[in-house]
Amino acid sequence: MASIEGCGLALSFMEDARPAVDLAAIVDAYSTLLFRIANSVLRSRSEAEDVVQDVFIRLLEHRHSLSTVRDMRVWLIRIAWNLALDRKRRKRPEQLDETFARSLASVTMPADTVIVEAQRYHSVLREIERLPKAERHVLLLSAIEELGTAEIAGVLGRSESAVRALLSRARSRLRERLEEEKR
Amino acid sequence: MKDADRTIERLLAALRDAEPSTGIEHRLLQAMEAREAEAFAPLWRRPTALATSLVTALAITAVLIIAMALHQHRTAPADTRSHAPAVQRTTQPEAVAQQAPITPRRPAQRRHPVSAVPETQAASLPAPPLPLTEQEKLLLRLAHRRNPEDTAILNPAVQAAQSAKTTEQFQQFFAINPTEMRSQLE
Repeated sequence: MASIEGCGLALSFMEDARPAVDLAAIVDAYSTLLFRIANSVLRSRSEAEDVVQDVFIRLLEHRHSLSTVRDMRVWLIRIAWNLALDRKRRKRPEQLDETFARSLASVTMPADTVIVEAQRYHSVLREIERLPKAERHVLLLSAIEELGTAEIAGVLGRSESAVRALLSRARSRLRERLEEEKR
Repeated sequence: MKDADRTIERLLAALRDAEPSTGIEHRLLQAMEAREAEAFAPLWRRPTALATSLVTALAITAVLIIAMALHQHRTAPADTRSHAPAVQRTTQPEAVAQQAPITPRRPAQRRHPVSAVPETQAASLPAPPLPLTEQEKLLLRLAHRRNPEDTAILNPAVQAAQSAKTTEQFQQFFAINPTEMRSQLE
């Protein structure tokens, strides 16, 4: 993670407004997590970064009422999640899936297997898109390792047991469909 | 089945390990600083906001001027019309030379009906005609039709002659003929 020590001055004027909230520390702590959440929904790195920026602009706009926020982490995740979903509605489905799948595969796979792996990723992404909305949302949020069941439930406004059931159904449905596709 | 599971796991892991581009924190802080500076900057340092404010102010002024002009036009339409020929006359050079001292402008005529009441009650003006009674309306209708039987009621002599004639006709009609009665009995 990049250091942001050089930006100490950038927020000095904000300290007058609310000295208790260290915005630089919040950006440092949450920007990667928010990026991953937006990226899993939008499947575009540049758009995910735009969403993260929008989240922190919102944070800045609400900095005077931050004391009323009970759980800052869940609050930020929920904003990022909703902003990403809003953006996704404006996109065509599967618009950039092929490129996205290749970029994901290229990070983890050796060069000779990237194309095959990218094709597999592409088909999984397509099947994820075909899942029922609630199952899809739980599956995508569960992909982010830092998020526990309680936090996913908090973001989606569901109970923890419902989140567990949805996750189980999503995984089995996805597995079945991928097997059917193979045959 | 295991192959599908492995693919799903690998994809989810790839999503989980995605990293933003380097220096994102720096860019985010710069964006926040820019937004904050924009929010607190004076109006003349924000051309867009300044232009918007100017356009809004101009629009409000224009609306106010139009509203005032309309209000003036409504309150004194007769006054302005009566002054128009006077202005034309005074533009003539000889008229300017013989110009009478300027009299104070008459106040605009009130359109309220209260101002007309004293004029109608003044003695010099005839009283407004009263509406016709039912009898008068009936007579008027009869005169317009010119039916001799109907108009006879207006003339007592003609009416008496007409009633005598009717009585005679009645008696003639119901009078008993003795010869006819005898033949019927036989």
